[in-house]
Amino acid sequence: MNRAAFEYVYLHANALAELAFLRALAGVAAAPPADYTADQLADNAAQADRMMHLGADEIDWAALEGLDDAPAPAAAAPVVAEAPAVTLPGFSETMDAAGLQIDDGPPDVAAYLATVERARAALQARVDDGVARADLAALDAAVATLPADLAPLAGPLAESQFMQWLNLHEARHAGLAAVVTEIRKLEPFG
Amino acid sequence: MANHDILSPQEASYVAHNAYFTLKDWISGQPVIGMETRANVRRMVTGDGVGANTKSGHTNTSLKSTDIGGAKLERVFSGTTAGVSTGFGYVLSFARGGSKHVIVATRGTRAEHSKADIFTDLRGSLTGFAGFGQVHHGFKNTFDSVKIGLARDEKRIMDADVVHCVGHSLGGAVATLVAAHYSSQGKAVKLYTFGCPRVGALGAQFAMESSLGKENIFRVSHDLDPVTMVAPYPYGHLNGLPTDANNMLLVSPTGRLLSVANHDMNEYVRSVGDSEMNWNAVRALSAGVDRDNAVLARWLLRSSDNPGWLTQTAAKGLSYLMKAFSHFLQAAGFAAIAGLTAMDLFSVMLASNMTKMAEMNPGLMECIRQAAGWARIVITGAAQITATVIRGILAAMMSVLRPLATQSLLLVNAAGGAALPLMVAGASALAGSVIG
Repeated sequence: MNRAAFEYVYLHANALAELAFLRALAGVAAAPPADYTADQLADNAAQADRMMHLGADEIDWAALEGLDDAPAPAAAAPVVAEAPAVTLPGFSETMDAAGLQIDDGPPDVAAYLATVERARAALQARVDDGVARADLAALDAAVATLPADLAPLAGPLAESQFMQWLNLHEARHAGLAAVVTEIRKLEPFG
Repeated sequence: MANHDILSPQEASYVAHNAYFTLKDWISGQPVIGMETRANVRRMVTGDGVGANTKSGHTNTSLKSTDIGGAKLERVFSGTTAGVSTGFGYVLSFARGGSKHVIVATRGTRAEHSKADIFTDLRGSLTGFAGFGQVHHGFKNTFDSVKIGLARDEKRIMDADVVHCVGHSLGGAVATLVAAHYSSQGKAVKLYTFGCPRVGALGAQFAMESSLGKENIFRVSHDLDPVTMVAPYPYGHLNGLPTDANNMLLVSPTGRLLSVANHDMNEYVRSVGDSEMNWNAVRALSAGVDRDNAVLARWLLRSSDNPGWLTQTAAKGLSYLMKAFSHFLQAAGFAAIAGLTAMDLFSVMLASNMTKMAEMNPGLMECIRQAAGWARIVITGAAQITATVIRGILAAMMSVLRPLATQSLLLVNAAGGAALPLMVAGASALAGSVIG
């Protein structure tokens, strides 16, 4: 994958991750999870009360291991990619600086993509860093599994073409999820 | 009619602020390891109160202008770490309303804590506090040293009709243990804390509440003071529920999101130290604070002091996740959900079976999957997706909050803005010595 192609994959994958997240959460905000059945609550009521009045002999510390500075067992620790070596602003922060507006309700995809275009110049250093650090072989392999009948992710996309990729991502296409994961690993978080 | 058995907000905040003057040269704004002279402590506590603090525009917190201006300075107690003695606090006595009163004031310090063990290692941080349960071991070690220092005032304290325990920051944590100790000895105790971290866990906080009486615990905190947010569940505050009348959560005066300045005792003095203030007025201020968990989540994640971490996009998204989890936990019977911060919420989800129940909700599961992708959390298996995502996000949140809380402690109430030069590491027990 050359740099030009990587740049498009970088922009589109990050946009997919953010927009899918915002759309899923806007859906929850609009329709909170259904209340549980009486049976489900009955099973849980005693435990809920116990959790809020837990004694020292009762807490399962295994659930909270790995959350502090001490080394955690590998099985308990979440797999989070290493922090990037550079301290450049990440995709999300750069979008924020470019004037991204997030209102209540589902995100405005057209406005979001316009902001991506505005942020593109400021993201060039981050793209350069990504090209240097990304597992390009893994990325190429993941891109190869993407549907051939959609406009290429590694090239410019009109809004309607991007929406096809967003719908595919929300339908949990494994290859597309792998591409998004590889790109998101390059972002600073925490 | 004034209740003579309790300190006013002004009296309590002044007493807490003055505890720092027991540290050598705090008065000049250039504190060093050691103990201040008794004469200078008396001057700052009940005399003219003039020092670097007042010269830089902060409130003069001498009690001279208050109703207890005639209080007598008793012991100025210290503690010793690795052979080094430092001032820790002071004891005052006064008579009011026909009763004998004693005040025990303790200052915040990081002398007993290495950077590594403040608010990290949730499980390893706990130790037993006789009769009450599990508390943070660093605070317990400091309490043990202070108890030695207070021993010479034991008769005066035990003869008092009312014992008032006052402290800011880590001093509030120590004051909590001092208060619990004397209440277990049968004394009538009042506890006043400002910007206090969570001291007890797994029921200890409830045991101390029960011993003291909730109406005798006055907890004042700024809503964006990072120190008051640590450590997360299973730690908890005394009077930590929004419904607790004496849980006085105030709008942070600095206007900065999750800033170390919100922990400054000078700011607490500014918030509640007016002579016209009474506790009903402070409670009324507290009623105006937005306690919406989603708001807390947004502010926790969007810190003006740490702009590189999350943006409004992510903060907005995560605030929705907070709302969803909050609803989820409420529906599952967690009645105390309103008293939990965003981080507590995640901790409770992890420590219970709630993650499995979350996976029964298709809408919530979709959010969690997308949150994983956004947060760079790689899901390696189908099982425990929710727990993995929550753990990853919680770890990231703690990585933001912990340095802020630690930084707040380093800069606590330094009149000249300089960090305390106390570099003593470890949490060994202290031998007390008393000056004066």
